[in-house]
Amino acid sequence: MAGSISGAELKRGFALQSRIVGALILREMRTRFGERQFGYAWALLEPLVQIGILSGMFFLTGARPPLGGSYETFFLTGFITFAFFRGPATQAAQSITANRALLSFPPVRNIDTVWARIILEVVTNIAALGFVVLIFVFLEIQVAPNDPLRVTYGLLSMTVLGAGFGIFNAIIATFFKSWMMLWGWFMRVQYFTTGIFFIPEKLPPFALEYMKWNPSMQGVIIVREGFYNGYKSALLIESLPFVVGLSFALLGLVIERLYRRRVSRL
Amino acid sequence: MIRFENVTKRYRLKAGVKTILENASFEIPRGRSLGVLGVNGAGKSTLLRLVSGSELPDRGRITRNGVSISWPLGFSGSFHGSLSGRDNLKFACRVYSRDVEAVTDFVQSFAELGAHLDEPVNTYSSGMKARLAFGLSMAFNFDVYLVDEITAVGDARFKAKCAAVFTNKLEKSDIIMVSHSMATLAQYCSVGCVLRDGKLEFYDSIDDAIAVYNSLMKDQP
Repeated sequence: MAGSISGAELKRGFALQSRIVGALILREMRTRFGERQFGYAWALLEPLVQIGILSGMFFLTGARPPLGGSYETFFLTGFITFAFFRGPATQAAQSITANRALLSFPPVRNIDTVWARIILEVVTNIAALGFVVLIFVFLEIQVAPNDPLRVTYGLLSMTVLGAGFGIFNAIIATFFKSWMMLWGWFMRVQYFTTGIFFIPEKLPPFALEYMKWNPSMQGVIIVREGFYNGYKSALLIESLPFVVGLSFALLGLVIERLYRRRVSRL
Repeated sequence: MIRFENVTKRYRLKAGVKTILENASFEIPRGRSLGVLGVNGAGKSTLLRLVSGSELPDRGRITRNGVSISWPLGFSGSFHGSLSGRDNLKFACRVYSRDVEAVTDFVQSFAELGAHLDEPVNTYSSGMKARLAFGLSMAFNFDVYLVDEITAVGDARFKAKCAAVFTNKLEKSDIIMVSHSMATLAQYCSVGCVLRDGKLEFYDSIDDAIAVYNSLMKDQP
């Protein structure tokens, strides 16, 4: 009865959910990338274009990059790292509200659409990173990290942060219609304060007292510590992106659990 | 056997709380088709969604014991408008782990959509959408079909085709049907139930259920 779920049942449930999440990912790829002329290529190209524009602008100012010898590399470590957080957080946010009408297939549950978008976004981010690295190697721009393991750890922590906010946003967006607008504002502030364009050490200390608690800034610091030989930040709070990401994921899932029965799916 | 145990389902409306089921326990037997009756707004469609699992009860539990149940038929909202009919079929096949090719072949010959099958669903007329939806649900074999006020689609020839396929299905499967047409209920269902005031009352013959429903309608202002 209630509360006693056997191992076999758990396994069957997991198999069913994996199958449905897989089906949702394939459909999501079709709807998101399948219709436009360049499709998936644009998703891979976008970070490269962003990095190119930023580098061009800063090159024209004549200033030297805060770390290393190349602006392209500096923005790569900033922008791509930020994208690992922003991508899943923003894409997953609308997964439930956008798929409302499609949930009348009873086996498809709200949360499956969230997982599908998170997985697709993570895979797309990794592919985009690979594409940028390939182009950089081809253009002979410095791209080999000093400590690949630490860079990987940094990107992983940003992914957890992004996925956590993605789950939380998706649930909250079903209650508050204006949540996505607020999230949009928040992301614009994040874009400028997370450290894509600067290293935090250059900011005034009184501001850093608060800004260092931004988990997204911490993720960028970790990646740059791993990338640049000799860069160590005194501001580092190593576990912040993980802890914040997991907390918001848990909070979102608990709210979903509590209100699951109340929220009509149609 | 589909079993409801102490199930409560309410809706909060601006005007107050609407109770669909209040601490209701019952079993829906297999092997006989069930007609669901009730005045407008009693919650018949919600009851079907509870049976299908697309909606959860506020309290209590619903067990299905491995009985496979369709989504409520006559409802074409599950399609993604910007995807083609073919891609929508693919998605449904993956969700229910059915053979994509066999299902597509069946729907193609049944729904008579021709080249439209590769066009986005939001270019379809409502009749085409309904044919795609009905074809898809007939391509899957469910133990129990949920039918929510199915409206016959297409011309007389197509209607006859639908009725033939549907009658054929009923040899192996049961249906649970909501309809305002007493003639349709009497044609497809052998047993009936009446939903009112948060309770579901069962009747061994659909005619008895219809008689109760008719007396309810007389009491209505």
